[in-house]
Amino acid sequence: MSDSAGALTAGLWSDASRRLRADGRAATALGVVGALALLAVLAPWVSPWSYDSLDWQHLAQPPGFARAHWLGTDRLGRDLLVRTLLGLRLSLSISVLAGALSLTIGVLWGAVAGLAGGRLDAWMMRFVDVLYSLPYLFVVIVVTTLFRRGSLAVLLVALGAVGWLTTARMVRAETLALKRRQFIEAARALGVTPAGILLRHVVPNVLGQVAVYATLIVPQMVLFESFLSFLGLGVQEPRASLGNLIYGGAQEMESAPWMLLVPAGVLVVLLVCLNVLGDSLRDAFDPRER
Amino acid sequence: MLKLALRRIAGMIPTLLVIVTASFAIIRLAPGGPFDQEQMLSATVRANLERAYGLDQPLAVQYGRYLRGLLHGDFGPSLRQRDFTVGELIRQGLPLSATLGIAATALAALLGVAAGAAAALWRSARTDLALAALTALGIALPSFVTGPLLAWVFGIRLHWLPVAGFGSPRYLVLPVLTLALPVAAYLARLTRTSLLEVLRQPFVRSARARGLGGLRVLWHHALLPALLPVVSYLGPALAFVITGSLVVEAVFGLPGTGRYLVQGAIERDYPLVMGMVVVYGALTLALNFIADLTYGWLDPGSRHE
Amino acid sequence: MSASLHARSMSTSGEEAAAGSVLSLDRLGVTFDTPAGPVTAAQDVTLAVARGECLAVVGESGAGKSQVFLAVIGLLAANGHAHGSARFGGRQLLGLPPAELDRVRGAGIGMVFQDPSLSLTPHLTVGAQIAEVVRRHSHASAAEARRRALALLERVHVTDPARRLAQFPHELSGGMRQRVMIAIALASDPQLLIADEPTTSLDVTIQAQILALLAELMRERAMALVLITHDIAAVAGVADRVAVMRQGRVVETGTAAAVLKSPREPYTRGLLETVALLEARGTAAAAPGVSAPRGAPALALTDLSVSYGVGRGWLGPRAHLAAVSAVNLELRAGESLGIVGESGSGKTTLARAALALLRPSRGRVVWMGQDLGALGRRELRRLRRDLQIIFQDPPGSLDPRMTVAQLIGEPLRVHAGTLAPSARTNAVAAALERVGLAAELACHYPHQLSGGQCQRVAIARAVILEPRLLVCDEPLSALDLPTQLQIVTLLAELRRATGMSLLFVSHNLALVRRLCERVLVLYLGRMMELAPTERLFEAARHPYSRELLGAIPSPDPDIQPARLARVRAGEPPSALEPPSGCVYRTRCPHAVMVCAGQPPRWEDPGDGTGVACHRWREL
Repeated sequence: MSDSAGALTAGLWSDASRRLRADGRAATALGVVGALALLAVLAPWVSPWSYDSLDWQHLAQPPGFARAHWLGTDRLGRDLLVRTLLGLRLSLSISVLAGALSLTIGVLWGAVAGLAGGRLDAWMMRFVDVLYSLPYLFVVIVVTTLFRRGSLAVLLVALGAVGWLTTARMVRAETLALKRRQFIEAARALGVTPAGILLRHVVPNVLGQVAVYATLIVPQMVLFESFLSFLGLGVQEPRASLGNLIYGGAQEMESAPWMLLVPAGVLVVLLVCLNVLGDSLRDAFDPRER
Repeated sequence: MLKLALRRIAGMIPTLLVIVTASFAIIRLAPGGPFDQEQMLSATVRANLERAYGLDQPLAVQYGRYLRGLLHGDFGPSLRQRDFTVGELIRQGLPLSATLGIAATALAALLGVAAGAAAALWRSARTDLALAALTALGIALPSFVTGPLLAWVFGIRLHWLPVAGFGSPRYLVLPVLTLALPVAAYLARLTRTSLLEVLRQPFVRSARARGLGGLRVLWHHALLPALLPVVSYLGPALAFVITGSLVVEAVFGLPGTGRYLVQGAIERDYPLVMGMVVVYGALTLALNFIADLTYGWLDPGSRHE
Repeated sequence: MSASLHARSMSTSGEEAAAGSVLSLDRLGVTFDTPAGPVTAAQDVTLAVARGECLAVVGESGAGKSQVFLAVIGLLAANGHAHGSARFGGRQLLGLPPAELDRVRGAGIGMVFQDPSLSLTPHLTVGAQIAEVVRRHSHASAAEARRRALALLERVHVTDPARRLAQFPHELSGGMRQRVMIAIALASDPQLLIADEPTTSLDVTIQAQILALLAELMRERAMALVLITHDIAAVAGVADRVAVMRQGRVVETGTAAAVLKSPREPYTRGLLETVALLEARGTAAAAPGVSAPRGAPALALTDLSVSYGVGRGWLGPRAHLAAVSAVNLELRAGESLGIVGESGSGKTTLARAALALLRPSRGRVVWMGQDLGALGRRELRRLRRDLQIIFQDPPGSLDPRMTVAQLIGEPLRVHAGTLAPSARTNAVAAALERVGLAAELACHYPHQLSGGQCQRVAIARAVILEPRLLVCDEPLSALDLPTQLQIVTLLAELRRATGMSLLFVSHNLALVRRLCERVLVLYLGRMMELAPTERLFEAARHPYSRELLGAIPSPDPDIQPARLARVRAGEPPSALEPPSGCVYRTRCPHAVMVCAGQPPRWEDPGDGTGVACHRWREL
């Protein structure tokens, strides 16, 4: 039936951004994330203390604005505010980089597999399935076991290397669905080259989903990295990351709860806002929400 | 159905083989061999030790022995815990970890599906908001945050439950809860979305038009399709539970296999780490297989590929 | 094959047969709460149906017809409200508590929905779904319910009913699914049956069968029948009374004869005229001047066959499905040829193969003397500027992320890359004007256009480079009747102006009459008959062609009921196991021994026409 043409598949950028702007939650989340990111960038200049300077006069001091250390110190006298902000900075940078790496590999892998079809597709996805069947953390653990622990580059590669799997699967599924759409067939009938079809018709239509994934992959990476650091396999002392700060805080839970609550609070706020942002983006692109 | 099962099993074998081979390769070829940490050994002692552990045979033979060992549950000796073989360590810790995982998954499934279904059926602006907030929190909070927090509230402040070690089932309450929360949150959201989607479908309206009554339509016609996404999430959910158990065991000091794995990773105890990987890999494959079969059994349409 | 099985009638309902109407609506209105404010779907609807009578409610999509009856049985969406009065057997339905409504639904009123593939529960077997309704509205045991389910399936002419009971909906064909839906609706012996667009997604022949079935059931059980449809021609065979709805209001009601033969309202007259125009004799056939003088054929298909592997066996596909078999066809420059067949006839595959979008398993496609199969990829791409196609799903054939201007300009980019941007813009503007679209639509996106506008954009895109051949793959089936007429007119005009050849694929024989000079009838991928359009309509030679012609509904209530009564049962056999000999023999009323023995030869009396039937000379 020739229904009102409003019922179509992918929403458009303008349409999606309009809905996104109208979404109060997303705006708040974006604001918070932005603020945190800003703080993370400015971290080294926020306070006179550095992350490993020990203040013997204020050991394990609770937070208070009147005092020298706004958020208190840990057992060794290190300023918690600085360490938390630096930890945030490190976690964010690793996660964003690892996320970008995963996304790139995943999109390319999935698009090529989906478009190529046949044998190449089968082998490429078999590879993904094998890796997928292992809990991702195990692969990361194995990799960090093999190589130098604490090396940020290794951590980055390990995280990026496992994150691309889901993206690849999703992009491939999208590509396959697109291939069946009549406008791809129409493009073939027009005489467009396969490369032209990929670049002009497939990629623009997949980008929407990829954008959603991009926002959701960053909190995932933050979580992975924190997991690893918490377990002692990621960022090593004396460098601070949210994960190992929380580990330290958990040890001191009874006597100095702020050591746990401060970094945990920052992590939770970051993750919640990033997830809310990702969800809002997904809703904005979902045509059925009209 | 049988053909589906056989085809899936056939697909799993190469995967398992890859895992096992990678495991073998890493154990044998990685830097930091079994005896490098020790003080300098004389050449003869070293040669004797190597012969005792079979390290002087060609690689292919070692591989064969490794495979045969695996089939008997023998994963080789642990490098760091000299008195135990990897197999023994695994057998020690597996029952606890398995109990933890199964209990957490069951709890998550019950809580999550019930909450999601309730939110879908008694829909209002307030329940939507409440559920969205709770699930966002549940999904975003990592278990190494909720774990210590729960321990602090219920263990240290209220003294209701123990927070570390293992003695009686009471020790498992907090760990299971911590592990189950993120999965329950995700399942709740998934169930709600899926049920709402199914209730909008034409065939549900058609069933209602037959005068079958709301309850029957819900139970007989709508529930199964709504649960299909939940079933297909079981695979990833199990993977999540398995990885999450590592952290939970670390936080609550539970003597399960997860603790061995982490320790082994830190100490570079390759046989232990790879042995765990093989076990968990096989477990994941088996559980995914069961989830796939269940999905195929529940959804007749997907069987005809 | 046309045995009509009269199963023993179901439990005789000893209830009263009220002399008055079974359902009477009085000033019924339906509104929806939307974020943009309340939307009125229907207002002031006053209708009535009596037992043994069929009321047809006709109107375009969006006219509110379905909403009215959904409101009657209380199945409006959550944000919908009904006001006014809806009485069933004297009882007010609006505002009834859900428990009471459940009793009315099914037991009193049965409803059959559009698109049975979506309206049957996918994970329950057919038998389970029917039996559950039986047990709900009576005290039958499980075994008794199963027996009744079987009887119902027989009553609705489902083939092999015992086997179907254990099958799932997705294993059945569209026509059979619709019959199952009817069986389910009948299972509780309703006094009123509401059929909401019961034939829309079905082939013309199956449509006729379903309508005939509904008419039969109505008479046999003295049920009231409400038939909701957009196809005003289809109702002529079944309806006693007709109500025409437009934009939520009833604009005309009356007896079928009155409304269909002498309509009062201009809107009704417009609808009937549209139907008449669509099925009118085309000018194409009458004006020979358009076609180029006879010469070498522009497109020649020789022994073309396309088959697919089906199912995954260990060493390759388990079976082969011959979508197209041994098609020989020649198309002259400037000629228009229609390809007609039901779903599964292979016409879509044939259209794709003719454009080398598919690789044939056998045979050749020769365009302007060149074998398309032998060309390299680059030459083939270059040739495509002369070979164009428009598709069945207009919005789906347009990239949702490109503007109209980009879409129409794409062929220029591919084949005339050296064109200056200004020349390109002019060409796009000219193409827009030619297909009758306003120039400001150029920066719109497909989702902002209607189905008809999308199809025009697709046509503009296809003809901007003035191709020599345009293939149309069911371009009208997703459109409303008035829009169909507009598109057909546009195509005819374009053909006249540019002299391009046209290959028009459709399942509706009536539509090709206006556009095509010759028609090829396909069944299960095999050629049945090839003839000039007018000759086919007046004196078809093949029994299948005659069946197709007989299935075209005519909006004349004097003729249509009788035609409907003559409709034959039967569906196309599975293409995986075609019948031996002549594939049509399982449905052919004239089949004899020889038809099962060998496939009929294609007999060409020399004038470019032909027929494949053993007995065509005698029939």
